[in-house]
Amino acid sequence: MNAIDTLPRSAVNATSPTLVHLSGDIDIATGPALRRRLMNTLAYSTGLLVLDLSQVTFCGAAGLGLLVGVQSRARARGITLALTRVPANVDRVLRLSGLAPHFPTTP
Amino acid sequence: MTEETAAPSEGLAGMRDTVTVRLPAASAYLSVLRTATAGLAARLDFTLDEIEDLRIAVDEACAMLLRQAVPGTDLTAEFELTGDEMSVRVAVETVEPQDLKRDDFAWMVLTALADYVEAVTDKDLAIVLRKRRGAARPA
Repeated sequence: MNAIDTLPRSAVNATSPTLVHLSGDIDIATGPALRRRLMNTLAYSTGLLVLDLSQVTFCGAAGLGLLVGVQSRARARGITLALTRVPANVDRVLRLSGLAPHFPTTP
Repeated sequence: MTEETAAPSEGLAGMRDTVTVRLPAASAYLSVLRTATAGLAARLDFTLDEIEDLRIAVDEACAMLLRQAVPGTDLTAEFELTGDEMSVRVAVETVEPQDLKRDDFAWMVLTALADYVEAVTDKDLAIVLRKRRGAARPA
């Protein structure tokens, strides 16, 4: 857990963001392909990668693991991963797992 | 699921309150099971938040089981609806059941969302979870 980025929220606006919209269910069936695409995105992302989760209809532990993995890889590249428009269901699992404080959010 | 259960809630008068769903033990089918879970929970008048909790809990249980499922076999989900509680037993066939990992996100989320969770290693590998309507909800 100590590899997780804990950037304070105030620092999030420091660079112009790269915005990625996710939609649909994130589960163990869809996760691997999404993970690959997000890892590819890191190759051309600016220093701030923002995931818009407003259209995510399902996210369980597999989705959380994916976010942690992408964040870890992003951090190694000097990229901050942030979340925006987090739906209530995703917010809930983030809080239940204790991960919520580790993901900066933008409005 | 042969034991007698309490009288079903009024909306289910006269209906047997046990539903079995059998699907290929493959991750692509979990979305189907989540949908079935939500539909059944709605029959018991669970709130939308509780239905979402059940959807996630069943998904986590299945995700844990699928790691050990024999390819080409089925995943079985038995739902039992009583007055204010849904009980779900999900099971897969394994070659030799291994203890489920209890230190990962899936187990953490599952136990947080369900009122009761039990892993059963018998001739198959199963997880039983229960959730009551109107129970205190974790933050």
